[in-house]
Amino acid sequence: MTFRDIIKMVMVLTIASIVCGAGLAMVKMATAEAVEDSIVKNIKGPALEMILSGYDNDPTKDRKKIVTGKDKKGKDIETTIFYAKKGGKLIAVALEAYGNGYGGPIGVVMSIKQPDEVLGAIAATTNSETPSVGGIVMAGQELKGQYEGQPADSNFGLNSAGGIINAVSGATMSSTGVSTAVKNGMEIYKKYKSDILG
Amino acid sequence: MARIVKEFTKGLWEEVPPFRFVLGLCSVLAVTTSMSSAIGLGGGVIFVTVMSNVLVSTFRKVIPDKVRIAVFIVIIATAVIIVELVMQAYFYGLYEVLGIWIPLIVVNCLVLGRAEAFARKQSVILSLADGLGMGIGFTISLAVVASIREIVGAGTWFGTQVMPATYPGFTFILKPPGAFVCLGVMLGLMNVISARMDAKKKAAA
Repeated sequence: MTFRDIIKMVMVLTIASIVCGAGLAMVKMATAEAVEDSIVKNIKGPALEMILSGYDNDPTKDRKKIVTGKDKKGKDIETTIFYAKKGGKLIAVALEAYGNGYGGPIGVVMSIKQPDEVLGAIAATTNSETPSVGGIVMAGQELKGQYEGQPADSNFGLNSAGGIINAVSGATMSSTGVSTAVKNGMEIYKKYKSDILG
Repeated sequence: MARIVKEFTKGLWEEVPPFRFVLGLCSVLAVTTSMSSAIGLGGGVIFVTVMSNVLVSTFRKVIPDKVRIAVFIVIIATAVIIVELVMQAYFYGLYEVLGIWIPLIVVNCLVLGRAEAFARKQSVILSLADGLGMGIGFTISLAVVASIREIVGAGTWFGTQVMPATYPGFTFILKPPGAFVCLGVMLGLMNVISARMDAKKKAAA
């Protein structure tokens, strides 16, 4: 094997990788929007359907991203806001926020009715709670029902911490997770209200 | 022209990949529990075999022998990721069902096998015909096994009920051992039919 052969091998492999990489980058860019649409539609869609009602637009398409902070590496954290409209008039906004439960982060979507700013409904999107303990809290209405119709500026902590929410007995961790998520979500809403509604 | 037709049709019967060469079996066994997933994966494989065959054949003269496998894999992996992105964007349901089996097309022996055994020695047109034929043959094989398994196992075809509502289903055939049994019966049947056809040809000659 001569030096020329070695150079040729290296060149061919490098060029093949560069060309393929560039091609893939193009495909990725071309499909990015459609991929995001289908993920939102299939993963967030069912949860949004549970918490929003009376709209005639498609909230999975009618969405906006706002920057709501920075992570440890200084990258922007984005929150997606979904808009439910009827006859072109905004009737509710929905957003997702997280809180720590027993088994890890719990994702909760919540809807805030417009223009009177009361909480519509909440639903869990992702959770890894023990199915027979926290899972029941996630699925049932005992905890989730307490949020419905509460004004946006209520204290959404558990009542052991001075808030208005009663924890489900036996599943305090999961209840804390959900209430933290709602609290975080409402804080985002209040802090960025002009961005969200603007 | 006759040669192109021959290279295309050999993938459909004479050299149909999963049954004749017993290649690409992992996915054959795994995704054939329903027709829609079988056709979905088949479509992906057709695209990948065609693209890899055409590209490998186009650049066959500049790819040094010693690094050819690496270059083939780069090409195949690119095609597979394109399939994955497109499925995620436009066929999300299928993407969820097929899951890990889409990226695993990269290591499907059928794709690399055609690049290595055929495309690196033949012209672009012949490689295209070969890739298309092999891909379609693979898809038809998946569809046949999936039809048997879905109809016998669940009483449905493409998700629609085809058996009477009282049909209790036969779960065994939907489990991995059932897949092996189904594949074995198919292999046997193909051999019987081929032997008969050969005998007829001999008698006629």
